[in-house]
Amino acid sequence: MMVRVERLPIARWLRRSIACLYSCAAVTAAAASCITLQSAQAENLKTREKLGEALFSDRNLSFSRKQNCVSCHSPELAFTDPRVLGEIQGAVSRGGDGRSLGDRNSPTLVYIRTTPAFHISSTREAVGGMFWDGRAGTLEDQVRDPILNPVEMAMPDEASIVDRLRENADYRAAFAALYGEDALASTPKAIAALKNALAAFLDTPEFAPFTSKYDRSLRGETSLSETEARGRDLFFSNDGAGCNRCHASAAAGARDEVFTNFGYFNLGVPRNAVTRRLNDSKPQRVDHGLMENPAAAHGAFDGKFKVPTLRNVAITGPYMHNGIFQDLKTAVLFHLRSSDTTSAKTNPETGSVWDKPEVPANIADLGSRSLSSSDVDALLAFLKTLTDRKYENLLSN
Amino acid sequence: MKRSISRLHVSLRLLPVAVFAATGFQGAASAETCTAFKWSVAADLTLMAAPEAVTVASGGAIASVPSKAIQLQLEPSPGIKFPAASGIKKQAIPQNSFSGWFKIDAIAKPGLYQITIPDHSWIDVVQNDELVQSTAFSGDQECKTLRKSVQFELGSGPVIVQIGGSAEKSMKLTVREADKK
Repeated sequence: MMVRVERLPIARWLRRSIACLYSCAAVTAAAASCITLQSAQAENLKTREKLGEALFSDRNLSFSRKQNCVSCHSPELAFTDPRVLGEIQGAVSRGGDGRSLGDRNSPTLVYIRTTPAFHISSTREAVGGMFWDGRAGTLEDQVRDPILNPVEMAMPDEASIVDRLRENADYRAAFAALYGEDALASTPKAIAALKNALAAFLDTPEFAPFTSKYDRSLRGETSLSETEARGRDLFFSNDGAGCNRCHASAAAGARDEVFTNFGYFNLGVPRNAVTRRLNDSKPQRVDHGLMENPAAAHGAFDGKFKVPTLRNVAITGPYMHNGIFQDLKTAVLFHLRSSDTTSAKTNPETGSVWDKPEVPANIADLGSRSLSSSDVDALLAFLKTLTDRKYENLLSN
Repeated sequence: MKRSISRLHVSLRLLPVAVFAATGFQGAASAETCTAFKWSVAADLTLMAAPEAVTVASGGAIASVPSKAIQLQLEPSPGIKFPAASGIKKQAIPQNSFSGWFKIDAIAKPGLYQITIPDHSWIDVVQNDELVQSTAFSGDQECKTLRKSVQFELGSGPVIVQIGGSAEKSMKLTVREADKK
């Protein structure tokens, strides 16, 4: 009994100590978990690029809190919209309200960092800029518009955007650290910082990897197949398909080629009747393209749209500014329709002759020469080599 | 005395567990770096770590939202027939990937649910014959166990989960009611 009396308190003390240790362990684990979560989030926002990345995926920047930039520019599909949207067949994107539909195809953001600022050249040609009509001059100019666009993220005004930023403690800390203590104090300052951070993210190497088979072939790391090489030669040759007249800004072999001259052309693309029916467009609606850009509001620019990059083109359909063509081959044949290429006389997706252009003025004479069906196949094979390594597993589709 | 010592032994045997909870588990969690998710996936990680899972073949059904992870057997993507047309463009699904679907016969409690998966496969949720728009998405590229978590507002009744484009033939995933904020 004595022993028991003497030893029980020790045992009890030990048990209590261990129990306390369990409790402390649980509390410590929980606290550590919270601290880890918070510090990880804070850690993730320590640079402008990381802050921009967080903003890019933040649905709170849309009025409904249901849409972010990723919704229409998914990194899993070369920063294009992966959604089919039923009858729309991916031609345009759906807004944050879950109902509104756009009128133009969401372009890839990969290589967008290489786009020069919008300007009218000395030869009165429009060059560069963001969106299909260049209405945003630079990346920083561009990033705000989708947030405010009523059929996209639909925030009512800039002040509302800043209110959403202020809701987030991590943002408050990150903006203060990166842009000054008063970064979110005023709407203009906050919007400037938001634009800068988003543009910084879009300017990271992730958006210009240059890892395609074509790039690797230039670096001597691999070789194009015979068909791919023939397609490349057709693409770049002056007496070939002529693609390089618009879809290149340097001679063949340039390592930083992004396969656009950043110019604007009216190719005579037909209107997308399905989109127009479903997005509540007025029957008389005409997309005048570049002419809708206030900096280019001139009849000479009517119906022109920016030449898109062809990098990752094989996985970023549907094609053209309004996503009217589902298949890349259709888009290629459309460019050849005024040549003698037999297979280009009809739209393979409808089996009928090509619909008339939405804007009949200013249609570019592409000067395409006739191509055989094996030439077209070679061109398509070459275009597939422009797919960055990250997306090559999607090519077999 | 014996009982006390016995309890003490038990306690001492469990001590490493407690210490592991405080240090080792955190170390493992840190190694996983799953904290980049916008919401906690701690419960999902626990379900994923547990050996038990509800196994279901593609096209199969489970009665209700399980308290365990779900082991979904997938099929080659080109041959898969989803109950509802996929909401994802076909070019986003790798040809050599695997896809599958299963039905949950009854969502007993309407609310916000999250589906968390170990890779970047696409998730479609179908209820009342319509694709349910996701409410929120989060991911963690550094987390080895879980990469993607998507939240959906679900009503009561049956729901179909369609998974597309996985690199693996079988996927362990979690479906559970989202934590209250």
